[in-house]
Amino acid sequence: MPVYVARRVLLTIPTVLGTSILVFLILHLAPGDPATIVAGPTAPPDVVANIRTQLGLDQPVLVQYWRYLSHALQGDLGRSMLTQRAVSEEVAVAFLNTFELVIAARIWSLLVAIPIGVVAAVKRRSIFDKLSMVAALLGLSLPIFWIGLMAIWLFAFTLGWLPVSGRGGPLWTLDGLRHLVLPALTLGGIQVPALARLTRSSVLEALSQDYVRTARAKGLAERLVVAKHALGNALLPVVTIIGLQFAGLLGGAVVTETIFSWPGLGRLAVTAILTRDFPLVQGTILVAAVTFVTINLLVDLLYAVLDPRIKYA
Amino acid sequence: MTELTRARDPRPGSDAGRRLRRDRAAMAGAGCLLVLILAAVFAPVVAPYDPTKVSMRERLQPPSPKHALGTDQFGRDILSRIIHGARISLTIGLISVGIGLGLGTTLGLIAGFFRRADYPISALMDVLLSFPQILLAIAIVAALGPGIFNAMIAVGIGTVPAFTRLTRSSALSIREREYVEAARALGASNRRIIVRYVLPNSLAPLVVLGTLSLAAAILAAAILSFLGLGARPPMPEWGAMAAEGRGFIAQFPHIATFPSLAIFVVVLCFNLLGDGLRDALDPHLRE
Repeated sequence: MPVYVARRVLLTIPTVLGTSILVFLILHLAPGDPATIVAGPTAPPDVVANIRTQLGLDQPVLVQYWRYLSHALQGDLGRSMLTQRAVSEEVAVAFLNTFELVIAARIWSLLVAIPIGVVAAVKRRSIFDKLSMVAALLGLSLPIFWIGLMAIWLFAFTLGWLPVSGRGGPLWTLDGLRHLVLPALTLGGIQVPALARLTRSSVLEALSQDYVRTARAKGLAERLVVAKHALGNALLPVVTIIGLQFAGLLGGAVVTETIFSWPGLGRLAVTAILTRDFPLVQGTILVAAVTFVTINLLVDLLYAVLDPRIKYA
Repeated sequence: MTELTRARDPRPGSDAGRRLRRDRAAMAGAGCLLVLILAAVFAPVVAPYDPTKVSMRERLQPPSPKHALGTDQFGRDILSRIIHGARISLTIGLISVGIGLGLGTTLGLIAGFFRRADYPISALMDVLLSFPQILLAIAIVAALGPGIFNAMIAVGIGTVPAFTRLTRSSALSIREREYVEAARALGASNRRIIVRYVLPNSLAPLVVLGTLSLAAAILAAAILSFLGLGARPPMPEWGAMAAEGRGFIAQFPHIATFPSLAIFVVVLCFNLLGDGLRDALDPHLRE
């Protein structure tokens, strides 16, 4: 196991480095002179020249990248052009907010999708199976922003049960929880169809295996066959998808946070792009991408723990 | 050589066509798409009003016989804007997937056929895949600047890794086949082998991925426009129209709802057709 972990961690390093190169290049691929972009279009030439020297933009690109990487490794992602605050501070606060949102969305989507998938598989070809799979197909095609807007229209404006937008208080307060419900419902809702479909096909496959037939043949109750024999094996691929779906969750968080004015990474990234705040754009995207790579790594390691055959592959 | 140039894996051919025609969901998707494409092509004839014509006297009207889907905050007819928007959304989807298909297939063929190119290309794809698709698109838009053209490039680049990986794995398997070996023994160049044997035999899964990617690309581009990073008002792009309706969601939810439903229908149709094509070309995947 330690060898597998070490190999998997080492394989992640080139990906993270490549990610940092891509994020570093954002400023350099932007049309125009990077120093003028950072200084702003109306900045006088001496200010632009100062910024060029300060940020090392007069150095060769490789030197600039090394400087960017070494600073990033020490937690220094530069300063926001708009607020002049350290990007790492802004990103850290936003990261925690996104983390709360993503975890809440993940928990409720799992609580809904897995039972739907299991029941649909066990009651294959029943009305429930057909309806849930049609609903899943329809759900996969819905734009997330419409789900969010409809949630606001129904629960905030029409019923008046929940606040329209904002963060409210901390998560452990009632106000904080009330503000979390709609964004989490929207973000998690978009994940339910794919997860339910996958759980269904995974359970169906497990139910067709020999060990399930043996369990049935020895007279075990169907409930126990499903719970003890099929489900444990069926959930292995689901673990992988849960990891892969974090990409969808992080992407969806961008839209959800914008609709609900949730002060997370996604909203910060969009605001930064619209205000051309490049250090903040780079910081948010780098942190989001590295988080995603880390989650994938953790899922792989978890998969190896759950299925010992993996590490010998 | 004549015989060899005809060499193909047993092709799904007419069997696949028959299976596809029997798939009612896929046929419904294809039919609906055909109607949408015709509406998009003949938008100026089909649309009842000019999509950009402002009429403040008729602003914020609910659906009525005069305006089947109501009007927006500037009194513009929503149905006409949706019909004209179909042109934009379908074009965005086609161009984005065209970029992904062109770049991805080329890179995949190179990676799968030339061993030395495999690692750098695969590593680059791993890096691109380390970004959630919307985040990668946002990163590219951040570099190039917001706008519909840059949004298409951003969404297109986001689809490259899937095409590359698919073509690479097809190429890896096909290059070991006997007919490729035979062609090589007869002196066929690498380019000829790729164009005549590897590419045609990779086409079926590419068609499926291309169809499903169209759905994802249209959705992604709509999301970028909704965020203000793609098409901008007053362009009748569906995501931008939904964003405009956001401010009126409390009292006039129809402004954001109808463009969103248009996105839903197109994405659903492409998904149904893509699923149908996949099942028709590889019946083992049906379950």
